Amino acid sequence: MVIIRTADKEKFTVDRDVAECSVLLKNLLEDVGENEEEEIPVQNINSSVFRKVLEWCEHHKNDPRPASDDSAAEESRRRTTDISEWDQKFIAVDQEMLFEIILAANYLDIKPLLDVGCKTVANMIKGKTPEEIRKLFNITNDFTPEEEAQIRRENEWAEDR
Amino acid sequence: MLFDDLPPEIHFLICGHLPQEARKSLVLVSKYFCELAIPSLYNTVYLPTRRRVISFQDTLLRHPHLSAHVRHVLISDRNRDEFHVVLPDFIVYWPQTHAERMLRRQRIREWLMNRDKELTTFRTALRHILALVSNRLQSLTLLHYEHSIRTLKDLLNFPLPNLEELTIRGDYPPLPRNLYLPKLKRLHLAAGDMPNPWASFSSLADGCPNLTHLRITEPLSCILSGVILAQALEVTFGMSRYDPETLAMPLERHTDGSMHFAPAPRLPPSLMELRLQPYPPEMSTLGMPYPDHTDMISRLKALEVRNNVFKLLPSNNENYVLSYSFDTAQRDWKSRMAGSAGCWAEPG
Repeated sequence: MVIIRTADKEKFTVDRDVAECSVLLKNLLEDVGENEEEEIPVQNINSSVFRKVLEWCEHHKNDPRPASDDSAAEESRRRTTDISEWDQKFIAVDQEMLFEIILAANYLDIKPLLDVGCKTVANMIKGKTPEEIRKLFNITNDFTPEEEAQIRRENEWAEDR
Repeated sequence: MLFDDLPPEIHFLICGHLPQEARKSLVLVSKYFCELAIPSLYNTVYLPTRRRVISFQDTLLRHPHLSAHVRHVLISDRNRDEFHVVLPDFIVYWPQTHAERMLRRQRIREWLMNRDKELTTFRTALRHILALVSNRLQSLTLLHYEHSIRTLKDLLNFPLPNLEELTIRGDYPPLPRNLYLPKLKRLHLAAGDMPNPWASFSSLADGCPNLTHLRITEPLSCILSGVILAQALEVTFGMSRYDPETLAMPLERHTDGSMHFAPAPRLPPSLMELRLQPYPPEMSTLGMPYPDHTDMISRLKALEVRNNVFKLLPSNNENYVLSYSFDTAQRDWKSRMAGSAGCWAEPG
């Protein structure tokens, strides 16, 4: 077991193999060695998000870990658009939590979880017009009408027609 | 926490999971997303119709710097969504009067001229695009349904030092003697060939030192000379004696001017798999395949048993629409771009 302290000072006692889903924590634990008393701080993550991340790690603790030098396998996993049923249910959260999970996965270096998050956002974007995307994510359009028309013209080749 | 608050590297990762159409939408969202999504949009380029090929050419010629992003391209010469060239009504309809016949002749002439002009524009666009992107390309899929790619003889002479996968649908240009695709791993030749395709195996052996997979889908020689195709493969795998005349091998000239037959076809030593998918058999009036087809298949099956590089794929008996139809080709390409096997999937 290892003890992890989140940014809001909450402590989590976690199975080592669950924590090791995170490459960052795995490396930190290697530095700490077998000293189970030592707390490991994760500065950038709040307890509510960390709890959610742990839920994912718990479910996936027995998945084969991507080898850091196997870039082809990683590329293949990254490019596959499917999200497993369990992951889909897990990630069915509000936008704010979704973005927090993505940031946490990025910080903790949990690539498969980062992929699930990014694919979920990608699925939200698919099939939407630029205007609908702006509305969905509250983004301001800073193009002039002329600039927008020009970019549309230049990328006409990508339009289904 | 808003979408905008995510760091650029995460936005970039998200963009990598979007299909082309969605990347194009993201480009139009704001200046920030335009800059962010342009490299992804131009990384994998899907051009299923002539019109889109020409439009892409226009953009690259106006902004050549964009070609630096291009790594994967699919180009098809189709005009909209039709499978075959659709002939206009006035060609099919036979007029009754002499005046109408003269008018029909004139219209056919104009139609042919326009079509020729359109195809020339397409070929020019294809050349312009390849000239700009060939150096960095990792995969290229060229699908020709309307015209023969043989007219683009020097197509494979563009420098393609990083090309790893190549698919050509339609009659392919004779593989040049000085073919050099140093990184090519997978080559798929579909629905076409040259007068004697096996003669060009040697170009592959010399020019593609890293080729591991070769797939030949429905070559015309299956129909026209199936038994010779089987023999050519037997010779290639050293299981039959080389007789250049039977294989109609081309003549080559020695430096002293004397002529000799090209050496026996051979494949790169790196090759791990050669897959052949024959045409579905043409049936005789008795509902049986013609004997030359049966003979070809039995020899190919024997070759498969005796050699672990050669694999015979089942023909498209039930689903046959058109040899390597666009539907199949684009499905294979999209699957490949998503990291799956595409046309290299195990049959069944």
